Amino acid sequence: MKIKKTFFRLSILFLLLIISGVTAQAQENLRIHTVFEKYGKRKGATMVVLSGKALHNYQLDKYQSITLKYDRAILDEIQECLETDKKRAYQIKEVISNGIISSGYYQLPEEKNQTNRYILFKIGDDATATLIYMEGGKDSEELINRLFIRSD
Amino acid sequence: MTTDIQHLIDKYFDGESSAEEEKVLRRYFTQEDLPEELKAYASLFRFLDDEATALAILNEIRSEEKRPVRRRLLSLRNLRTIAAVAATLLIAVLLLTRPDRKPALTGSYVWVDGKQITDPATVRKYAEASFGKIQPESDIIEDQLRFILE
Repeated sequence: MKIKKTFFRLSILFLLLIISGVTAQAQENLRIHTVFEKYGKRKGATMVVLSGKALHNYQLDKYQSITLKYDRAILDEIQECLETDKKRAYQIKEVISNGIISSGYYQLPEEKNQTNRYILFKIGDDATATLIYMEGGKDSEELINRLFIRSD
Repeated sequence: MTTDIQHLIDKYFDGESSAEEEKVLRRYFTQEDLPEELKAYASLFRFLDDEATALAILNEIRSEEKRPVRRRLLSLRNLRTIAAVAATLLIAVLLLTRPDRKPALTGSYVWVDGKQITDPATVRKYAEASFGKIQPESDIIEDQLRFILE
């Protein structure tokens, strides 16, 4: 009986560890992750990664941005990634110019982890494209909306 | 009675006595008051009785010796539990620290033109710059409404 209890507890522990491992990979589940992976360390790109104390004031857990010089092929790739990931978004704000997303805001819920994920994208006037991924608790929503969605 | 005992003794020495009959003999010879003609056998059957007692004790000891075996079984179960805990922790560690797992979201840093910078002030500067790039310069809805209403 005792052994059964121990195994039951171990199974629960094991499941919890797996779940924590899976939720820790929230961004990896999004297609935009490939953009950070592929171009983040290349010449001409600027990739910022913030976590921990640096984000406490923003109620965020993760912040990752990439700014790339305008390139048609890269831009097409980002557009495809955004098209895929936005299918999971429950809040979308986009500006489409000449058939492409010139700026976009997408809020994706992460039900299991009780967090919000945000993807922001903008093509700048300085021939650069900036893609941002953020992740935070429920409190982050108000702040992000205030910072980025002026129309609310 | 003596005749019966004599008969049993004869059977014993002929190798034909049963276990039950031998028990009767052993019990009989434990008494002090024995007929003269049977006293000669007393020491033998008392010895046998003692031997039976010794064997009984020995069996008891043997049965007691089986208990540590159960204990060993229990300790094997404990070992199984310990092994399960170790395996669980190992799998968890492997899952959480997979070699292909990117350290991208641990700590704060910036990659500029293929070079990594970890200086907090510089990282902050670049973070603010990227933040600024994404912020809307003006409200597009307001702009468009204004344009239509003009």
